[in-house]
Order: sequence, then C-alpha cells, then structure tokens
Amino acid sequence: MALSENFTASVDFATQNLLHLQDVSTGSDSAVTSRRVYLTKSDGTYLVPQGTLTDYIVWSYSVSFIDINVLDRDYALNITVEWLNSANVALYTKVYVYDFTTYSNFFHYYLTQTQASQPNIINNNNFWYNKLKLLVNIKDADNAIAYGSDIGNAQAALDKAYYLMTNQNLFS
Amino acid sequence: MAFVPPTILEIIDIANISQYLASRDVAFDGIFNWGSLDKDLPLKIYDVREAVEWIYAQDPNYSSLFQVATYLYQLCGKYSGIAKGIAAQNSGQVTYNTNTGQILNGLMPVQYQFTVGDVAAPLNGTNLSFVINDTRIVAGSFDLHLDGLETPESQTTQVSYQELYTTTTITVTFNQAPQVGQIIRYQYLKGLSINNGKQTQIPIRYTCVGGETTVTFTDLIGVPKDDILTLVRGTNVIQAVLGTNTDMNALEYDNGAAGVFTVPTGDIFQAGEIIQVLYLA
Repeated sequence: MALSENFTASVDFATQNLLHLQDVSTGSDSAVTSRRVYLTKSDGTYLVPQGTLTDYIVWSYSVSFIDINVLDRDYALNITVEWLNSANVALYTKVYVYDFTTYSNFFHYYLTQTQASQPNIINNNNFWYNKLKLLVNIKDADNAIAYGSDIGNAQAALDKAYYLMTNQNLFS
Repeated sequence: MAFVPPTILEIIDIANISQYLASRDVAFDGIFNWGSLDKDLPLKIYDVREAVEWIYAQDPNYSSLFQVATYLYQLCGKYSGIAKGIAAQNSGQVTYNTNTGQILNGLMPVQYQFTVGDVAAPLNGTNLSFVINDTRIVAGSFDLHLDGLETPESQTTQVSYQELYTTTTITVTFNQAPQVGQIIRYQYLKGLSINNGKQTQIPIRYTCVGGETTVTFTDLIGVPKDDILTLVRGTNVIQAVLGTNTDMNALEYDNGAAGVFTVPTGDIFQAGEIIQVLYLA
C-alpha cells in the first residue's frame, strides 16, 4: 500500500519555543527511510535550530513526532515535510502554511490579567488602544493564513504584534 | 447552600450574548444621540472574552483564569442576568427544580437590595426575619451579603442567617437583628416558566423623558406577571409586583391588562432612565 503522506503542526502553551510536528500519514512505503523538514519564513529564508548548518531539519523516520526548538517569537511559516528514500530523494512532499501566535496571545492575556487586577487601567488610552491593536494584529495573522494562505501578510501582522510586545512602555 | 457562581464556560457564553446585547444598546443609543452608554463596552467584553477563551483552550486550570473570568463577568454588568437566561434557554438542557422536581425552562438569577429601616424595607432594625415571595424559587440557591460582606449561615458566634424554602417563598431568619442603615443584598435563582409554547421575546425598552409616573408597553398586553423574566430600571434588576406598591425596588404591574408599570409614590422616572423588559409571549 502506498503512503498517504500527512502531518500536523502545533505549539504547546507550556513550551512556546518548541514547534511540534506529528506524522499522521496513513499506509506505508518500504522505500521511505527518512524525513526532512523545511521551515520557510516570509522572507524566503529558513528557520532552523541554533547550530544547524543545513536549510532543513532531519526528522528520524523511526519516531512519529519531532519537537523543534526554533520559536523564539511568533512566526508565519511555510512548512514542508519530505519523505525520502535511502538516496535522499523525496518520494512524497506535503506543504502547509501555519501561523504560530502563542507569544502574542499570551501577552494579550497577560495584559487582560493586569486589567482584571487594575480595572481603571482601561481608562488609559495608551493601554486600551494598543491592547486592541495587539488583538487586531493576532486576528489579522490568523485571517491571512485561514483565508489567503498568505504568510507575508501574516508575518507583517505578527511583526506589529512583536513590536508592541517588545515596547511595553507603549501600554503605560 | 450558597449561590453557585457560573463556570468559566458559562461566563464565556454569557459574555458572547452580553457583547451582542451591549452592541445593540449602543447602536440604539447612537441613533438617538443620547450618549449615555459606554460605546466601547461591546469591544471591551469582546477583548477580554477573547483572552479568557484562548487561555481556557490552552489550560483550563491556569492559575489566574478564574480571577480574569470573574472580571469578564463583572464587565458584562447588567447584561449578564439577561444573557444567563437566554443561554440557559438555548442550551437544550432540561433543568429541574431540586426542591420539587418541577421541570424548568432554564434558570435566571434574581438580585435585590434594601437598607434596613427604610420605609419599604422588610427589616426595621428589630425584627429577625423577612420573607421573599417569588415563583419557581430554586432551593439552595440563596446567598446574602450584609454591608458588602458575605454572611455565613447557621453560626452562633457572629451575625448569620438560616433560610427556609418553598417553591414560592424564601424565609430568611437572622440570629440577631441587622441594624438600621445596614445594606442587605441577596440573590437567588428562579426557574424560567414552563413556557407552554411561549418563547423569550426580544427585550423591549423605554427611555424616560422625565416626570412620568407610569410607563406603558403595549407589547405586554396579555402578558401576566409570571411571564416577565427580568425588569430592569436604570442599571438595576427590580421586581414587577401586583397591586399597590411602596417598594422603591419594584414597579407595580397591571398583570398585562394594558401593559402598564407604575412607580411607587414619589419615585418618578428620571430623564434618560431606561426601563427594559425581557418576557415570554
């Protein structure tokens, strides 16, 4: 039976830096001996763990999942998984686009938690309008992926959210 | 048994409905340029609800989640009661009155407040008990605050109370008389009526020009008191009562004869005051 290749990608809330890929392929192909993962950013460069010299990450074929330590912030990524034979020729390829917004969403929750303990802070326009901007950028990124598979605009929105996160004086 | 607060999932549902209700009120307010509402309230509810929903999906036991969800519930303010009723009705759940086994068409919270010693107050500083009259009271749901502090039940070393339920009354008896001037605030759950095919209607409202002693809703002609689910005056949920009324926290209702609410003597409607009714028909 031929391999029907497929995978999922997710980020666990408790380990925001780890990108978790799960092989959910069905069927089998005895010619497949290894896998490679390409994480392509919106600028065309590749995201790899520190110290990796190749554009790709090797994913052992004996393990159905891999946790890749690459998410130092939120990214919109084009994720390509290749199933290779012993000569490293790709027999199957699957590509998905994803946006990972855990950092932005958690920062939005952190701001909400602050608001819950200091309700009057919402009267501060810097806090309120920039918090809304943050939420709008998260939604923009999600929508760019969901409706346009557009990592360029998704990453642009995530960059704006990142700017708000790294300039927290904007909320005071 | 104390009042059971809504769960986080229920708060999320309530916030979704409250967001809509607030949005509709803001739109209505804007059309007539009264400007008496916080036009950002729907957005504020949305913003906080998004955060609560997200963290709940990640970790439903996250340490600060209950506190933030409680804040969201508070943010829903006067809409939370109506939203809770709507959410309960649409949930498809069958709810029983634990007191009688009676099937109820959802639950709704009732809140009430009075100052001990006021003319219309049921406690005068010397008596120990008062009786709440309502329909479809859910046993075990009563909760009471005295001067803002939750008051314990059946304690002998401090002010406490005991409650006795029937389906139409709660008799509250203190171990020592609350003092004149103390504020008593209580809440309980009542079942929405077994509606006999009736549906919850879109809330109707009237904004007072000031000086009225009655407000008429022709939509309520033929609607008996028991089918009034909530009556809101300004920002307070109050009671509709039959017959002559002197209670400042209630409006006399004609039981659907002409759909008229009448104020207690001396408590005329103020300009901009909003009367809103959620009802079955």
